[in-house]
Amino acid sequence: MSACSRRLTLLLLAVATAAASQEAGPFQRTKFEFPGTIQDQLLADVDGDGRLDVLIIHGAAGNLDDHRLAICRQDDSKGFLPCVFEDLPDTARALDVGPLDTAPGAELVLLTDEGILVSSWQGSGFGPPAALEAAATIFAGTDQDVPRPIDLLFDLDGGGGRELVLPTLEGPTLVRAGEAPQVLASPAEVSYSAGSRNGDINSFLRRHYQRRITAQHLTPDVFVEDYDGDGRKDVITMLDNVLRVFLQDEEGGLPTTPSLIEERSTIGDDELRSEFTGEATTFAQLDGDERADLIVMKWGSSEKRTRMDRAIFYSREDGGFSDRPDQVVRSESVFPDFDILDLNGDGRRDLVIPFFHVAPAQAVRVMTQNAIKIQFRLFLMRPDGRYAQGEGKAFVRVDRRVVLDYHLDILRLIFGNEAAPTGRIAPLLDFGADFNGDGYADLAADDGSDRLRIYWGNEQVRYGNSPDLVLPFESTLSYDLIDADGDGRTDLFGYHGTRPVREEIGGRHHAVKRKRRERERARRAEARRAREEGEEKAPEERVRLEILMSR
Amino acid sequence: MTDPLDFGRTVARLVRADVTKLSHYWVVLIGFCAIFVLAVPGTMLFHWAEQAANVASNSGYDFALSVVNRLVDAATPIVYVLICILFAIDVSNSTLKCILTRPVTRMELLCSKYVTALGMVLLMVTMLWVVALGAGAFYHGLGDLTENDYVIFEGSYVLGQFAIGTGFVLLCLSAVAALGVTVSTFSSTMGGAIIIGMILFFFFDMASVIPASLGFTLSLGGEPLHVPLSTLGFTNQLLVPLDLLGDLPTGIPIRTWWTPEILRMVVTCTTYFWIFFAISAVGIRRRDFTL
Repeated sequence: MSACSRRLTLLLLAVATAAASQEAGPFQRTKFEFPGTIQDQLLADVDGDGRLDVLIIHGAAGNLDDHRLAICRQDDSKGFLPCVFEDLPDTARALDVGPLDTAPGAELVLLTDEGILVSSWQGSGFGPPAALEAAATIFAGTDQDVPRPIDLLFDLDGGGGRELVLPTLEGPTLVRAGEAPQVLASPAEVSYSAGSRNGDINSFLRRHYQRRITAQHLTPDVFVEDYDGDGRKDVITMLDNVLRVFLQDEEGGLPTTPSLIEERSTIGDDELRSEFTGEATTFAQLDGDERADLIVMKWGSSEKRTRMDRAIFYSREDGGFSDRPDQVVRSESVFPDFDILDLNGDGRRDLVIPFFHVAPAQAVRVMTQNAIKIQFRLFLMRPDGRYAQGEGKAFVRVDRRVVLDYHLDILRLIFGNEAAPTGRIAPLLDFGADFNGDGYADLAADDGSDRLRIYWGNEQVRYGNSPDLVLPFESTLSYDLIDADGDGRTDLFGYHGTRPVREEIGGRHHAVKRKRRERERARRAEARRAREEGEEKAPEERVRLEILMSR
Repeated sequence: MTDPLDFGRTVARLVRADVTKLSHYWVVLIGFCAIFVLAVPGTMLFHWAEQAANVASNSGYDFALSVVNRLVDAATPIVYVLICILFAIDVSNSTLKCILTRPVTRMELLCSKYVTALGMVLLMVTMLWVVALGAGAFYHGLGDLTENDYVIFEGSYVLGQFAIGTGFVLLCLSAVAALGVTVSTFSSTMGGAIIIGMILFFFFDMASVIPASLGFTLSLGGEPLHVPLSTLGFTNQLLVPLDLLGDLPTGIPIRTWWTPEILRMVVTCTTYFWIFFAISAVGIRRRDFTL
């Protein structure tokens, strides 16, 4: 297909996605639709106007290999311009969008299996990519797969432009303009398995041969935040339960080796024997002292697999932590997720913990009412920097409980035409929004029946029994809540048409996956031939977006 | 016009006679023994299963509620079968002829059977709660309902709510009992009553497995209320109040019992009760018991 006809196709797609905007209560609603299947999405200010634009990584319907980037820019009236489309190269593995320099407009940074490509925004699309000589990332030499958005660009020095932090086997590699790349010593973990778990037929045949080996490289989570409260952003890496902190000095430099290493564990020896038990660590500023506190989460126990204990270690004046947790929040759930938010606008971080009681009644509810009941437990940080805890009690006390019904059509989810979402199902039940800009966290609750219920937040963090606002909004399991236009009010982005991506590496599906790719390549070649000959059929799957911009 | 007091006295006498008769009848005794035998080891099994699966209940109340949730589903068919043979016992022993030779109207006779049937249902539910709460006290303790050592509800409040919830369960079970009495009204032999009764019971029970997504939506005070077709199988509606009770061990107070789901359950079960009552009333008026 010639470059000209390809451009023409993309232009026709752009026209087809003309966004329809209309008022919906205190929101401006915009809807997009175009052919394809969402593989991932990110929000970034592409054109440098201070407003976040939507970028959708998507594939052609039924195609695993043909990846495109739809860029839907915000206009100045809370609406969106028609999307423009960019082809992503087959070599793309990960990407990020943001200002790499101080020039207006963002850069698209692509990590490929061969290197790093950077292209700048040029008014109506990203320009031709240029290779960036930096370091070999973890994606070097990898097989083709869906390109994923990964945070690569961080404003470490507050200068407007951003620094590039690359995932490499040796550790996060910091790339600053005009400087040599700096490797921060937090290397990836490499684990392997040798043998028959991949369904290797040879292992059944009792022969002598060198068995296949699966190796997995695990790079750490990388945060760029102020860890010690000095106002400068530090780099924090986290792998397993080990927190490595690289403190930024006054000149903006970072040490090559960690300034601090923290590791806490709350699992007892007897619990290590239990297969249900696990542990993970994170950090957050909870008590308002600007220093990061540690949260060690333990799930499962020898008595109860659904038990979730969050042990909190508050940072001391000297920056250290005690050996034993200062407070423990005990709850019960199937999933370990929770939220850390300032619900009442007091500058201190509160905990929002979903509570799911495993009981026969829940199964009955799904069976008779197509609904599950989800409880959120709210723990409010008090002015003394601690969550409420009774004298002599071992655990923190719940301050508020919020119960929501979520309509869950199990049969439709399993047998329905719409593809299931990627990864874990995450209904839109979120306390992280402030739709009216009053400084208090509002509760946004999708009831699973295409209605969005909004409960206004207040200083007391008491939500009404019935919602303050009910809006039609297509139920989604993939969404973003963010202030996209900088007006201090949260906006809502709902994504539909997500394709499940099998994430198993080296498993028994590996051969099937490879075969499927080959089949898709052949299909794509056939589709291109059909396009060139004018026989193109309309794709079945469509990407849909519904956006509510707060007014 | 029958004096209501006389009507009540006659019904009471008939119920007393039924209770005396049933308490000496081995099928009924075995039935209730089966419920007890089902309840006690069932409770122990439930406790072991919890331990094996590492999903222990949070409290004695939580445990008792989970146990009742399971047992009520298993015990209901047993009591239902016993209700189905209420008339058949009288017919096969010819006691019905003796009763009808007395100054007893057929409506009084029917009402006495309904009262007896409801008594049997009440006995079943009481037995289940006694076993479940006893086991809950034994394994986890009762008293005030606590969570992480904090009192979330006083024991009296929890028991009060359990009593209200049980009332709604009884309402649903009364519809089941009405179905049993209706079958009984048309049966002459115990075998026939049991076979027809079980067919009808499982017919309604099978309706409850219609996927919940199939149904229609009503508007209730501006709020949509989904009415699944599975509601036609009213036997599963007794789990609705138990579901609401399940909020208590998780720290959620029951602000109102008049939720849309409870309203739907009340309307469904009451409608079924009166339909079955009308059918059985017609049946008992037309039936020739002298054969």
